[in-house]
Amino acid sequence: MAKSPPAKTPSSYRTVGRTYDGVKVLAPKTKSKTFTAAEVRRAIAKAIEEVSRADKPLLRESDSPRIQKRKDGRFEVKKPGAKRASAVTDTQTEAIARAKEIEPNKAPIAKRVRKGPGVKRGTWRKT
Amino acid sequence: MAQNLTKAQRSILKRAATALDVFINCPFDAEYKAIFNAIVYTVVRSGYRARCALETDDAAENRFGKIIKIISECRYGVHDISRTEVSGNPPLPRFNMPLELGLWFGAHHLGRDDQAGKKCIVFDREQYRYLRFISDISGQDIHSHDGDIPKLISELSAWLRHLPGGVHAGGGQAILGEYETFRSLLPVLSGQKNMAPDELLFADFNLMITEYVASLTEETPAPVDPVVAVA
Repeated sequence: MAKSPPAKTPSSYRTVGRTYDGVKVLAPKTKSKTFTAAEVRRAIAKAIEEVSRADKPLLRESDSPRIQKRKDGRFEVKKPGAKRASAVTDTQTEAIARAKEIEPNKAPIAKRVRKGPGVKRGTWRKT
Repeated sequence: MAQNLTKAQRSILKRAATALDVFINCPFDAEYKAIFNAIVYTVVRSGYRARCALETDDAAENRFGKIIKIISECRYGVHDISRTEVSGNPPLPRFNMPLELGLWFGAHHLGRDDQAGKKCIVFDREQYRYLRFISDISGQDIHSHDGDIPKLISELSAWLRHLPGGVHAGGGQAILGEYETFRSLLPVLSGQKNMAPDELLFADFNLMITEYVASLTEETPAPVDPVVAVA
């Protein structure tokens, strides 16, 4: 029988991390010549994000009533696909309250009036 | 036996008894790949290190010598003899897996003291089929997976969990769910280098599993349709 190197103890293995339930993940014996660990980590994060995004419908695709600013500076409540507004109010807060009256079971979504950290003006937000 | 050992020998035995390498002895063809992948995933997810003859592509090294070296370094073994069946013309059986299983038993029973603590699980397609071609190992506890991946993961994870030093990595169903998610992500992962999942080498695949398992969180997405993941 070929002579083997000294046996490893659990603490002598190189680990790459630990799972949420406490299992130590050991580094493979042989290195990949195609991928680096960093490349794989980035690809996993990207793939999981894509899958998570695919699971959730986009906000703009929901059938909740929309609240958006008109050219005259007032705010309108509009159902998706409708030509005419269901209600027109002076402020966005009033429009949100009116939308909740019209469709009590659907949370209205409003277009952002202000720019915020990490968000653009004009994108949809839940109210 | 342990009473007659020297201090150095007892030390080797103690260290060998805690090693976490698992030797995987199974076919490597495309037809069997799904089962092989599931075995590697379950081994890594259970906190062990997967080893097999595919881990080095050094053509200069003799394949048989390579297998012997890996067997001698591994404390645990997963042997699948389910593909021992006649094929070709004239019809002859494929006997690589039973041969490697024999090497494993040889190392265990005839090898040095550090080989004495070897443990293995043997899978076949049906529970008593092996008696027709390798009846000398009757008395061994042979597990059958019927080519069914959920059953294989369930049996293998339960066996790994109950090994000395084994950890509870969740039941077979939980591991299967994670594995299905990993499988659905595989085309995206291999696509990073313009490769199809079938073109990945064992070292690439093992690295992907290792990094994926390390990245697992309780909120990791549930299994999805592979088409959605690729899109």
